[in-house]
Amino acid sequence: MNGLGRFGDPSVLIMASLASGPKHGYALIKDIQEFAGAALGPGTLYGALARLEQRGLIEALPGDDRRRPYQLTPAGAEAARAYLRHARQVTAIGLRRLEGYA
Amino acid sequence: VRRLLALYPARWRQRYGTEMTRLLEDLAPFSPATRLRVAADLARGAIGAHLSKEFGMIGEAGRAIRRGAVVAVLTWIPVATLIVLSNVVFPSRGDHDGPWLLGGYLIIFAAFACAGLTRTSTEGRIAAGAVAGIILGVLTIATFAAVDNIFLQIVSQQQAKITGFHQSGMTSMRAYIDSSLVPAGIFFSIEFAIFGTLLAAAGGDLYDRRTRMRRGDRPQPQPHPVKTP
Repeated sequence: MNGLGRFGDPSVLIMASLASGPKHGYALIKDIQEFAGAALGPGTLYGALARLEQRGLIEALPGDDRRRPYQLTPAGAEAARAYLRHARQVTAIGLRRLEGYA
Repeated sequence: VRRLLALYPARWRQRYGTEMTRLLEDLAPFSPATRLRVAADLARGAIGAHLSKEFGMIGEAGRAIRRGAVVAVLTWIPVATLIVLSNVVFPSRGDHDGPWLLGGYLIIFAAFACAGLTRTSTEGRIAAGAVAGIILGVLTIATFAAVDNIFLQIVSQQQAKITGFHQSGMTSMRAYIDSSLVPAGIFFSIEFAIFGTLLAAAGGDLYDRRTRMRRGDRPQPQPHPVKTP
C-alpha cells in the first residue's frame, strides 16, 4: 500500500482502470470518469503515471500515433489488490458502524 | 494550453511530452472554464515534476537547496534564542549587546562553514551557503519583527531605538520599528548570502583538505599515455 505514495487517489484510480487491460492517457481519463465519476486533469494523470512507473507498479508498452498505453505490472496488481482490500475492510467497518448511528 | 507543457522539466518533456500533447489534442476543444482548469492542473503538475526526484531538482541543485534550508532552520533556533534573551530576558537600555551580537555571528558563521562540509562540487557548496544565508536572513528578521512587536514595551527602552525614533520624526514607536525592519531584512539576507557563499566554500575547502589527508595524500595515479603506432 505504501507503494501508492501520498497521492493515493489518482494512483488507485489509474490502477483500477488498468486492471481491465492496458490503456493510454485519453482512454484512462474516459474510463476513470465513467467508473468513478472523477475527472483527472492531464497534469494529475501524468504525475501519477510517472510515480507509478518509477515505482515499477505500471509499465509503458510500445505505442503508436503518439499514444503510449500502460499496463499493470505483477507488483502493481498486488499493491492495488492490497490497497483495495484494506479500503474495503475500512468501508465495511465504517458502514456497519453507521448503521447504528441516528 | 499546450504551451504550458514548456513549464515541465526537459527530461519530463522528453519522456512524456509527446503523449501529453496527444492527450491534450484528444481532449480539445476546451470550454473557457475547462481550459482554465486544465491550465491550473498542468501548472500544478509542472511544479510537482520539478520537485520530483526522478525528473526535477535532482542532483546537485536540489541537494544544495535542501542542505541550505536545513542549515538555515537549524541555525535559526539558537539565533532566535539569542535574540529573545538579549532583547527580552536580559534587555539592555544602553548599546551593550556586543557579546550577544558576537555570539550570534559566531553561530551563524560556523553554520555557514558547515554547509560546505560535504562531498560535492564548489558550485554546490556555494549554492548551499547562499540558500542558507538568504533563508536565515528572512527568518532572523521575522524573529525580530515578532519580538519587537510582542515585547514592544521592553524593546522600546533600548537607547538606539529611542534615538532612532526621535530622529525619524514618526509619531509611533511601533511604526518606526516596523518600518526599519524591511531594509534590515534586505540587508540581513544579502549580508548572510555573501557570508554563506564565502564560508561554505571555505568549509568545503577544509573538507577537501581533510579528506586528502585521511587518504594519506596519495596523488592519483596518472593513466599511461597510449602509444599510437
